[in-house]
Amino acid sequence: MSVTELSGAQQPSPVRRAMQVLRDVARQPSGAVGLVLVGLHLALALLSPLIVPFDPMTMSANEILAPPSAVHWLGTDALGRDVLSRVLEGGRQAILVCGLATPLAMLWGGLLGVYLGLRGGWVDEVAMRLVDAVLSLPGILPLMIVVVMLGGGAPVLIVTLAVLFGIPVVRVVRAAAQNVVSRDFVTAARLRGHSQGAIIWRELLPNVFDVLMVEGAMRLSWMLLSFSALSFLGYGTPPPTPDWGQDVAEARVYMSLAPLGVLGPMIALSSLIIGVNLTADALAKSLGLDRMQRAVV
Amino acid sequence: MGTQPIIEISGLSVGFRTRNGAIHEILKSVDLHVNPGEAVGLVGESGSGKSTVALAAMGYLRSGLQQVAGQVRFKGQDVFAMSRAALEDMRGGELALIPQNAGQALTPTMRVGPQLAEALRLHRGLEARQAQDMAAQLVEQVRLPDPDAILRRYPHEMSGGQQQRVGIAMALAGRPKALLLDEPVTGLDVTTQIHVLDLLRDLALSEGMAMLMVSHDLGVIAHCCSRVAVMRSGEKLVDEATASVLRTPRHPYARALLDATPRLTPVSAARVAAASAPRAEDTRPEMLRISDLGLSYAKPRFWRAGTPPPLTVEGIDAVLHKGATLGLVGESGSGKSTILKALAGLIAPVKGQVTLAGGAPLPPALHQRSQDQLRRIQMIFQNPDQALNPRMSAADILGQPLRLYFGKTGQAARDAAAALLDQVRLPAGYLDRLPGQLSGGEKQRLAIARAFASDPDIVLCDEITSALDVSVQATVLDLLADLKREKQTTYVFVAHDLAVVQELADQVMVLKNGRICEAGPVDAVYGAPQHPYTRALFDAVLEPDPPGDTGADPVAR
Repeated sequence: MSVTELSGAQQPSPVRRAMQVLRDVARQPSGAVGLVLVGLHLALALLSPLIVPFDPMTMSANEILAPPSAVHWLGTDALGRDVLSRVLEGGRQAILVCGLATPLAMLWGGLLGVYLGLRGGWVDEVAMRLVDAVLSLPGILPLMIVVVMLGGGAPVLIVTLAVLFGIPVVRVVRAAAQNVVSRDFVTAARLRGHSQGAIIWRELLPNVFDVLMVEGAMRLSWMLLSFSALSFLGYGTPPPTPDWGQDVAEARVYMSLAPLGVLGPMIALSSLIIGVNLTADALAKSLGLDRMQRAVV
Repeated sequence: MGTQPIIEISGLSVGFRTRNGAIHEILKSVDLHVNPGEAVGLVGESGSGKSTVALAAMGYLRSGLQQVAGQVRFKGQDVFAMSRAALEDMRGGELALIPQNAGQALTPTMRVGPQLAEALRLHRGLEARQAQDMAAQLVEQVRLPDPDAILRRYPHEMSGGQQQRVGIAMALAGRPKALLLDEPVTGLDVTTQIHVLDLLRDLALSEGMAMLMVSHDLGVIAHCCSRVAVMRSGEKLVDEATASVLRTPRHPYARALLDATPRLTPVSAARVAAASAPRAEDTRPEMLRISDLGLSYAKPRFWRAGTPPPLTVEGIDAVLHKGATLGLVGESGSGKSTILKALAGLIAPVKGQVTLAGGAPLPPALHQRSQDQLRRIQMIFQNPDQALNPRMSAADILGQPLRLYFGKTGQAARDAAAALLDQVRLPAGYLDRLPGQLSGGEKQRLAIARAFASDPDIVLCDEITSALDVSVQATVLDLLADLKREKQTTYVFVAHDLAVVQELADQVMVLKNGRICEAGPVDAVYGAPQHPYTRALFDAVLEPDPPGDTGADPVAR
């Protein structure tokens, strides 16, 4: 039956498989919207310096808190800088930092999670209690402590975010790996005497990869939010550089006079996060993970 | 039988819509009726649509399925035209389902008593007090011992057979006119099986209920049903009296199904004598010696290091020569799989030792064994879906042992893998297939090929045919027998199916509660069982055409 239908099918190469998944995601309404939003933000992050109407850092004493006009579409802020230009460029830092920190978090969280799922025993027990302990803290707190101690430069932020956001990945991937470890093909590999590394690499990782991808997408959206929260609190991107979180913080004082100064960056940030979330949802659906219970973190 | 059928399925076609909009039918114009007081069996291999028919009788189609043509009538009423409320009233009331795994169908957080009482209040409109009394009566009716104690238990505190009986009591709560049974005894031990089936038969007789029993096991059907319908790929092929289908099958598929069913072959007295007689020393080299093996699942506690843990398995002795096959039989919990795990190295023995080919005793733990020791013992698992990495192609799966033990990579590994596929009679074109693109039997062949890729001396087989359809079972067993002939492999074969063991093994060990009941050559044990437990085990085997049965209506027996 189903076997004869598939008889012509060959094992797809990883690239072909990735393309197939991407097509599946794009075919769903939520995935299509999500991909467009994310794509738009990526394009802006790359190209915004070329297309912004004004230098986002140039101040102008004559045009403080100007209302929207044909020249300044979204008006100007308290220092006379063009709001539209700042909104267009304001996501670069967030996308760069989070875009680099997410794969790092997935890498270490995924590897450790798979190892713990295979290792089990007291090592696993101790590690998971530590994970519980860290997760019980409000996420922004350790982030702030590190930034206050080491400064808020991009390398520090990338490493800190990768470490912090890898922790929930450990838990989710460990659960997925435990499920795989209990299956007989892993027992067979252990009986043959393969090394732990070989079992992790060949038997476990390919089978938890889907979970890892979806979890990574979810972490990315949380990371963007945390990064912006940090900037909003004044610990993120240093002042003259445009940044959504920081711009909202500055503009909120004048919210009644120039609401677009708050709304602009907020809409930009939300659209990016919504885009990432929609893509993650569609990804989970096309990988068939949406029906699996996802660990609540 | 001039009465109106209680369940009447006429010309029923059920299908699902494929991506291109066409309807793919999984039931093709099926007719089936069940008269009051009649027991009808519905047999077929997996994917034949037998469960779909049974569920359709309740007016239920799995999501995605739709009724294409035909009708299902229960007591003359079209079930697909019934209102939701009427359907709910009917289900669990006059028409009850007994699922395969009653343990999972019971609510785990409720004691059995309140669960039964709830069903009674719902379907019979009883007061709380009356419902409680009635629940006790029902429990008694399904012959559970000590009803008061049973009513206070949670489902997980009972054995599988007891759970199944509670499931039946639950179904009886609505005073059903008809029972639908979906593989009602498949998960149960043989001795429990027969008790549950007898109970159902008696209940059907005394209450005048109609039964529609879905099963892949012809023996079960023969034991209970007066009429049997055989299905294949959504079509009903045969609908005849059980006796005539099982004794003189006319339809070729029914005959094939019957032929493929493993069954016990009678052992002649001469063979028993020959097997029991003291024999000359086995000249074949010794491959495996198990001496006084004791196993325990209890974790050692360092503060009580002095006291030995309770043993799950104790006093196992066996000697296996090259090319011999030892069958381990027994009910679930008898320790047969535990012994296999210890041989594989997954459980370290607490007592005794295992010796490989006359060498030094094998180290108890897996990581202490040498690569060569690991290579020489390979295992084949029960469920081929679980035993193959779904992300690896057949070539990669076979390549793992080839690279690890023989350093073969690239084209050399691919050629060796192709040769292995050929040995298990799979085409070389399967090298690039993923397990998901193979059928159940093909997957098991691939798993067998992987075990043989290590060129092992001993192959451990853990219930390797129980997850397969009968027709596939037969070919897998043939394959194992052929490989044994070619390579002189030694098998340790665990199975709950006594007929399967008889076919392949030459020595057998009957286990009960982790101790040896009886052991010896297959012909001796099967032909003249000495231990009462062994005899009970053989008596409980359900055969499609039991000797001595005159073929009369089994329900009336």
